[in-house]
Amino acid sequence: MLITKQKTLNIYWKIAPYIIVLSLLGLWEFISKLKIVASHLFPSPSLVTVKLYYMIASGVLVKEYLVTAYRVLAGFSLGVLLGMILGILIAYSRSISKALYPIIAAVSVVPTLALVPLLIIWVGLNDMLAITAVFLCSFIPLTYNTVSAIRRIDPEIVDVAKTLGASKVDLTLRIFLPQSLPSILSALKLEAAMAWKTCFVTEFIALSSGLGRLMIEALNTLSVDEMLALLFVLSMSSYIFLKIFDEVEKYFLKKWGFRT
Amino acid sequence: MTRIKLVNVSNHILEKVNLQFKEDEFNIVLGPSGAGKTTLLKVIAGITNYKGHVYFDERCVDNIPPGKRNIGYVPQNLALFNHMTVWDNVAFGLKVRKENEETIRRKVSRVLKLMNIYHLKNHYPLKLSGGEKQRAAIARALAINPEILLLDEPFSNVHISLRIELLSKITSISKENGINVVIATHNIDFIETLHGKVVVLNKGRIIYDGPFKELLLRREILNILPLISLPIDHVEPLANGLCLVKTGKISIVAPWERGVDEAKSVIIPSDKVVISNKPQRVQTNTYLALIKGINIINGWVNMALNIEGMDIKVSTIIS
Repeated sequence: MLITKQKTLNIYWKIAPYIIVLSLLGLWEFISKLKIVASHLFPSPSLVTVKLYYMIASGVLVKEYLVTAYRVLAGFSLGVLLGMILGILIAYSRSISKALYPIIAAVSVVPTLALVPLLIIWVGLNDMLAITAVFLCSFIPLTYNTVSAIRRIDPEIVDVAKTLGASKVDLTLRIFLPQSLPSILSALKLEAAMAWKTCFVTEFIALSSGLGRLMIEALNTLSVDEMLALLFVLSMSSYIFLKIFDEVEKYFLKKWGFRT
Repeated sequence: MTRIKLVNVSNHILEKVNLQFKEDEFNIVLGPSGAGKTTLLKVIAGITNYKGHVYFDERCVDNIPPGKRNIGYVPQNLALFNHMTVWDNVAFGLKVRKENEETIRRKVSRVLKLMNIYHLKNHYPLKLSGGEKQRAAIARALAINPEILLLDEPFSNVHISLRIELLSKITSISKENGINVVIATHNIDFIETLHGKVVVLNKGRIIYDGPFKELLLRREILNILPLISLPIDHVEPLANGLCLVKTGKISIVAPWERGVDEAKSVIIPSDKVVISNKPQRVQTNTYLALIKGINIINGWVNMALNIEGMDIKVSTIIS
């Protein structure tokens, strides 16, 4: 009896989020149909879906989406890679740490978007502008998190590895990186969503291609349905990015016994 | 077997330590918490800075990095690599030493079987019990065929039966393979069985260096160890191989052994004392105590007790 009740509860918790989302969409659809506000200013979900379909079918959305995705992936991968390398160097070398860590810590509090005007002057109005902005937004947090994660590793683990004959390369690849992976993945999850937002806003402010450019065009033509469709695409892309890292994190934490 | 010699070794903890761990002996480093036992092991392993000289046989190893000293080191917290399976933990030393696959497979299988954890080879450390982790950590240290095995508080959290098993295993492995074993511990209740040399450290200095039996006669040294040492007034034999040891108003039931009636003092490792505010099911060796003082330092609880008019100090690790 108790087990059956527990099972029912589990099913309820699994479907609850979908019910909430569908209810909210239903409510939105209902309010739109009341025509309190003109439908072109407050389009219903069904209108937004139709718009999204046309945008995909015409090929415009796919073309601009690929441009944005390329910028996000390029900037993010570069930021993550170099951030981790610099993080390892700072954690290893006291002199590099003394020279660079204060700069990294100071820059980390400046929002990347605040740097976009400067980047426009230094980098120019091209692909590199968005890539640089995304790079900066992932590079600094990754450096910061890698340093903290490595510094948190139990020194006894490093001592044992050294007595077993581990070189600096062995320590980095076999101990530091895997041991700090959970912290790094947590940072990746946060920064993955940030990367899409940064790229979108940079395109919105300064570039003539990408999802941000489509947004500015939609704004100019007051196409609220198109704007909502674009926001949906942006949030779904961020979510999928986040979900991938979330799954990778879950996989390792479960595999290593941190979670059951 | 490698002889270990420390000459004038000093650092932030140790003060001019001179000692020699000979071959064919089990070497025990005793001392209270913070005495420098772990630091002494780390000096031998080469993983902490020091002044002075360390020799393995006649070879000065001061400039030899830890990985080339051929040492198996098992720290108190075991420091297993949580992201690796038991197999990969044990194989780590061999992999970084670039041994070939076949050698790695053979050596890892051998030590895993030796430590009775071959069936756990695909498990991750966080999924192991305390005893299994202990075996895995020792197996990892043994896999590289070390000349010296350094064990830091190896039996602090294991059941007595496992402790006996591990000790006999380590003893036979060290004899078979010529490994010099150094154990740092605060516990003396297993030392008697080892017939080894004992070094007692206090505040970074060596205050005793000699056989265990003679240590038991040095009350001033026993006093600094986490032991309860009480003078014996009288010993009465009981049935079933037991005896009643009378010390002041306290009577302690203990196993009867040859020579016990001539013993001068009864020594109880103080971490074997269980302090409870609830009535105990077992009445033997259970006393009502007045706690006169209590303090907690570095994970140790120190208590001043008064039992039947006798003042007794007890130090035990928080578990």
